[in-house]
Amino acid sequence: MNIPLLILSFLVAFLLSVVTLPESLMLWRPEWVALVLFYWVLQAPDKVGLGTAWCVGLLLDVLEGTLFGLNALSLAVVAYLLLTMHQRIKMFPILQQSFTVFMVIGINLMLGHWIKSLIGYRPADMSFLFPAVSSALIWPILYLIMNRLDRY
Amino acid sequence: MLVIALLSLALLLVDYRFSYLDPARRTLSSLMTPIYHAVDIPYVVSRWAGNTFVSHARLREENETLRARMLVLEAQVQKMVSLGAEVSRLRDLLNASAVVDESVVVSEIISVNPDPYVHEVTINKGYDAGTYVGQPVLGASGLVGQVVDVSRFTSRVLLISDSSHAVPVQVNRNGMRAIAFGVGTHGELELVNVAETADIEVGDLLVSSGLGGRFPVGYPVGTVTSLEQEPGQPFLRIRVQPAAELDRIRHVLLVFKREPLPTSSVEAERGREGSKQPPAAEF
Repeated sequence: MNIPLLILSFLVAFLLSVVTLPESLMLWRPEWVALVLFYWVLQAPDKVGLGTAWCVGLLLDVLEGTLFGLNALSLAVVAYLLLTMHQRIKMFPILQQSFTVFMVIGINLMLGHWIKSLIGYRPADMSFLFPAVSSALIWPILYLIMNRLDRY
Repeated sequence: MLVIALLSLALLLVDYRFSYLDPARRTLSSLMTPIYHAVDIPYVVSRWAGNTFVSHARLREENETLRARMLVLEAQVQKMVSLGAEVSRLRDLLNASAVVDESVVVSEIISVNPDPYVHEVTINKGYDAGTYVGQPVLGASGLVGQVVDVSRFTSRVLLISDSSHAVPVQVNRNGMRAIAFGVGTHGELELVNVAETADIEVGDLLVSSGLGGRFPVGYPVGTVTSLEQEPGQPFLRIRVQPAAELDRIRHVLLVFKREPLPTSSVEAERGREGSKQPPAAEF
């Protein structure tokens, strides 16, 4: 496992998840941090797991100004789901992996949405799931890039 | 997993109900400041390029217009000074409490909350610059929002258009009070619980009433754009266009309340002398 790349990739993911976008694109912003976590859990399931996911989630909470523990919880759930089935996911063809990304990030978003509605954010329509779609679409590209970088 | 889930839920509850975690959040938030600045780099570079590679003629032209504008504003300020003095003298006569004097600090928006359902921006002044939670924030043309979270070098500002935000306002024309709620889109606010018989018209200017004790009195909040009367509903449906361009502004003003001027007239004179210094402004 490539520790500098791990740190760098999470930093870049943090950057991308707060970078200012036009309002129409905001709804479609992929869940970069969850995607990068996805990659690393698949690569090194024995080292990157719940603990890493939780800490990264806390940092994301601070960055996005959400309630402490919201992203921490939903990213830990992502890591948990991946850890239970990482051996199968690794064998999947890339399209099926994308579908898994869609499901897992969908669950992640759903959890966040539930917590937000509990504390009284105005419940929106299903548009909060758009990032799951864009994340699934971007997964093959991200996977190729990360894999290439990882080999150096 | 169970332990982590319970820990997260505990954190969520504690953060939602109490403020024990604020110091931790503050520290972490200060550590994350470089990320906000890194995100802002493209804008800074483009602005630098725009400022550097500009023709002499255009600069001169801009200088001219700015000079003219400054002259006009200065003339208005002169009038304001005498009017302000008159107001506090009259309030003295009425034995009313003195008007709170305000000073402002210019600050820049460096990032926007990534959640499209939350209208929140991050500005580049934190508690090092004296920012505090609940501080009102103005734009060049009207009220922008209030500070909801401060870290060392940055703070987060909730915009008046956020669906969890409300401003106490009054109609400038007749002083009628109302409350303007954000609805979650940038160009719109809503006045709630205004009776059908209320004296309000399309085009009315709404200014902050200062009644909540949070926002200063008399800053423009928006203008009424439409009135709808639905049969069977006891209240009007009133839409308001915010005065500040909430999705376009780059610079905002942080308002600092000064101590109220003393009430006795001699003291008041002295107080006024003291407050004649130019307001604190940083660029």
